[in-house]
Amino acid sequence: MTTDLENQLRLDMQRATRDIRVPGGLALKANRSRKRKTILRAATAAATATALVGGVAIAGVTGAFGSAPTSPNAKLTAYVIERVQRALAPAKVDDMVGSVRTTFPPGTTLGPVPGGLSGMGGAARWSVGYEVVWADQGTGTSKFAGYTTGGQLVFAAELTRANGAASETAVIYRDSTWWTATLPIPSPPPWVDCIRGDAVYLRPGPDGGWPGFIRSQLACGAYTVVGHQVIGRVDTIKLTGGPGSTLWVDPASYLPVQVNIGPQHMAFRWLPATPANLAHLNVSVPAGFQQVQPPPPPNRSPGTPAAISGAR
Amino acid sequence: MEAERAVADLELFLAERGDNLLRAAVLLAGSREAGEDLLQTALERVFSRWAAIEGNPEGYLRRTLYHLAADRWRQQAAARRQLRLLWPGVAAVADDPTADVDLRDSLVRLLMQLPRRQRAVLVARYFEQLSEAETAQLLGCSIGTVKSAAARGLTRLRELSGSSSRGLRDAAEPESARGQLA
Repeated sequence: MTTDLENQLRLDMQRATRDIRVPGGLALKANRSRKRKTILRAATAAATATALVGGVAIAGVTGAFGSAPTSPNAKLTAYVIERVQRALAPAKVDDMVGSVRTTFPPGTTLGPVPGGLSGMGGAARWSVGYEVVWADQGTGTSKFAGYTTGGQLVFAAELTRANGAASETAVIYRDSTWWTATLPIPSPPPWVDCIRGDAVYLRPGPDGGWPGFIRSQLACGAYTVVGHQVIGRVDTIKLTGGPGSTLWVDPASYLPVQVNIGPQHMAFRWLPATPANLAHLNVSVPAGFQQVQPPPPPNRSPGTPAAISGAR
Repeated sequence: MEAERAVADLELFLAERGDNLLRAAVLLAGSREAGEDLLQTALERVFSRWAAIEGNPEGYLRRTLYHLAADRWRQQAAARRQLRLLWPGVAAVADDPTADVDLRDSLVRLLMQLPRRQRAVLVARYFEQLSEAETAQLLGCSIGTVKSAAARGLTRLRELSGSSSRGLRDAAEPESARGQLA
């Protein structure tokens, strides 16, 4: 026999949930979440294996990595690196705006010069704690801005490329000046599959910038998955590539979250190339600032490794 | 690829049957957010077992949903006990899983106060309108267990509603009168 209470309960449950609709993309979200958890479990197992037996593989990592006679850690590393390489391929990142925050050692002095580089040539320099570079990966437009350790803006420069030439506008807030310069775009040096060492070499042009540099570093085969670590709010996969080189990637997107190379620490953000995000690349000259002649460009031949460079 | 095909198949399935599953998940978990989280976790299990699932995944998905809900409630109960020990003030917030549920429906609110098995039985029987045998199969228990859990759950609901401001008398009022509460 159905009671009033049962009828009421049925009606109340229907009424309480009648406006609830399943959101689109839930299966895709679930699949990504499952893969992320699988990778993180494997990364934990790899880290445990490394810690326990000095890098010699032990059983325990299975599943998506097949059953080839390679060690589980090597299979996991190969899998993660292949995913990172794919995530950073030009076809993937060209629709993104990338942001890189580089923290410098104390005492670093930098200044903008034509060509989008800072810290080189005869330009005046100011004490800078960190630099933030924004880059539109599709067009190659970039902006780099230097800040004091306390977050005060020291300078900002916008570099755009069109019709075979680059134009740059730099604003130096420390002395209330600005300059603009036009310069030809040098021919990109040949692609290098593997860049070793702790120098940051940001090649201009397609497959250049930070995505190309990280891809070239991973191509050396020196990076190994060593575990996972929370960076910001992301439980990242941690890879090391020799002394002083560490890379943390987001297990959902496989895009870099942070890179440490030598004394430099770079934190990344990857955003869709929406008008709001592209606005981060704009530099405007404040009223009352005095226009000055640009400093001489750096005496640097294309392809020379640079310790500090713009995004592209 | 197999995974992409599985995602596409499940998205199609969810477009057709997902609303009802999510509503059940919300009733089991106690909030919209927790319900979505519960359904997503159940979907992850489905992906893990995709190759072994033949035909319609709904049965496996629904079973997983109910079993996960039981697990989750156990975890939440343990967490609340720990929170009470650490920060007594937090317990009041943590104890109310219905904070973002439509509380106009008082029996649903009271449903959240029932033990997990009773709640699961009532959701299966009165929301999903499953028979006692189907509910027993879903929850992996006997028909007798379903009957007793449903009876105890309804008795408890009656007691709780009797002591609430709305009261059991409201539950017996005609639909037109109840509609004014919404």
